[in-house]
Formats: sequence, structure tokens, C-alpha cells
Amino acid sequence: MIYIVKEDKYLQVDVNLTEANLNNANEFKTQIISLLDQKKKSIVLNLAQVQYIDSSFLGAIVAALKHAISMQLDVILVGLQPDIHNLVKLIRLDKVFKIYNDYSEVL
Amino acid sequence: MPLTEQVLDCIALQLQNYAEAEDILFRAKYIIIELLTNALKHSGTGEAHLSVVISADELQIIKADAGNPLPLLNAAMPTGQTRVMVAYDVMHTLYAVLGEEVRFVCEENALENLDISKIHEHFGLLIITKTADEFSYRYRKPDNIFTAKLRLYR
Repeated sequence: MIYIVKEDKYLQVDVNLTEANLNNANEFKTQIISLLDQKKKSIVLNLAQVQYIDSSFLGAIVAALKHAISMQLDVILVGLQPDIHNLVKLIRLDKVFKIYNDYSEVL
Repeated sequence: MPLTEQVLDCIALQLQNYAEAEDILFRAKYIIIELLTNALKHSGTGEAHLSVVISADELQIIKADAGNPLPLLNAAMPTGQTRVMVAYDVMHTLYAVLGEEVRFVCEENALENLDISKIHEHFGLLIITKTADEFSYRYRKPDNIFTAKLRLYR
């Protein structure tokens, strides 16, 4: 479901899902929090493959961000499809997450 | 998500002559996704019915299920008060306005000293309330009926 693509200053992580929803939100949350605990690095989460997202998965990403912040780390979002980016802005999560087009913009 | 795609394809066909069809389809997509997610998470039944009604100036998306009615129907209200807070976090306050039907409204809170640890992780009702022009709930035994309305402009 999530794959570490590269590890340097950040953990670059791809989400290998086209539908990010209630069915996989809990497993995603468990995996991403486990990664934060193991690696103790901020995560750049690439959501480019995700075509559909629901509130359950958005909640899991927010839970991951809260966990990261409690460790003085971060979860940064890249590769959002346009309507997912619009949804994120609609519920004001763009005020909470750092969002970039791709990984190169993060550096 | 084939069902959502099928419904959106049907809506798109009907909206070809409408201004802002792209925006309507974006909003309809997330309303449908969240109504169906809500059915799976909360209704407690194995079945939900989704209807789409398009008139000259309005698109209605209606979800009905025979699960337990929303507890807020039994909320004790002080005399004269018709609005009850159903969710609050540092970014939004969500209210239910009680009447013949329950109408959801949302207010954005001022973002001073944003404390991310206090942000909710439940966005379903918020997404529908913010994407719809009007979002309401009514209980007609045995059905819970949620209706999201989007205004259409030619």
C-alpha cells in the first residue's frame, strides 16, 4: 500500500492506491505511523496514483500528521490530483499540510 | 469506484448545457462518495438507496437507509433554540438546525494559533455540508433520508 521510494533528509513514500477509502484507511494509518516510529524522519507522501479519496482516508492522513508533529516531524503532501487538491482546500486542510506539486519542490 | 462513476456519467450527460457543470460534477462526486461512506460506516444496515433528481435549476442527491435514526433528533433543546452544535474543531463548527427536517450548516472558525493536535479526523458530514448548497436529514420511519441539493445555472 505504501512504499519507500527514497530515503534522504525525508522519507519519500508513494501511496500505491487508486481508491483511498474506508477499506484501506486503517491499514494505511497503521503503516504510516509505524514508519514514523521506525525511521524518525518527516515523510513526503506522494498521492499521485490516488484517483478517489474519502473522508476516512483523509482522517487517516490527518492522524499521521498529528503523530508526526508530536515527534517534531512532518507529513508533506505531493502529487494531489486536481479535484483531491480542491477537496483538501474546501475543508481547509491546505492550512494544515504543506502541499507541493512533486518531491523536487519540497527540497 | 464504478458505482460513483456510473452515477457521475449519468449526471454529466444531463448537465451538458449547464454553466459550471465541471464544478457541479466535482461537488456531486464527493457528496456521493461521502453519502455512501456514511451508509457503510454508520447506518448499520446492508443496504442503502441512492437517488439523483435533476430539475431545471436543481440537482438533488438523496440517500436512504433503514438504519438507526440520528441521535440528534432526540436532542433536548432550550426553549426557542433551534440550532445544536454537532461538531467543533479549531477550523470549523458544524450545526444542525432543527425543524421539520434537520438542516446542516457550517461556519469556518478564525485560524489564530492553529493547533493541529485539535483538528478532527472525521470529515464526512463536513464535506457534504460544504460541497452542497443545502444538506438536510429527515427520518420517515423506517428510513433515514439525507438530501444534498446543488443549484444549477444554465
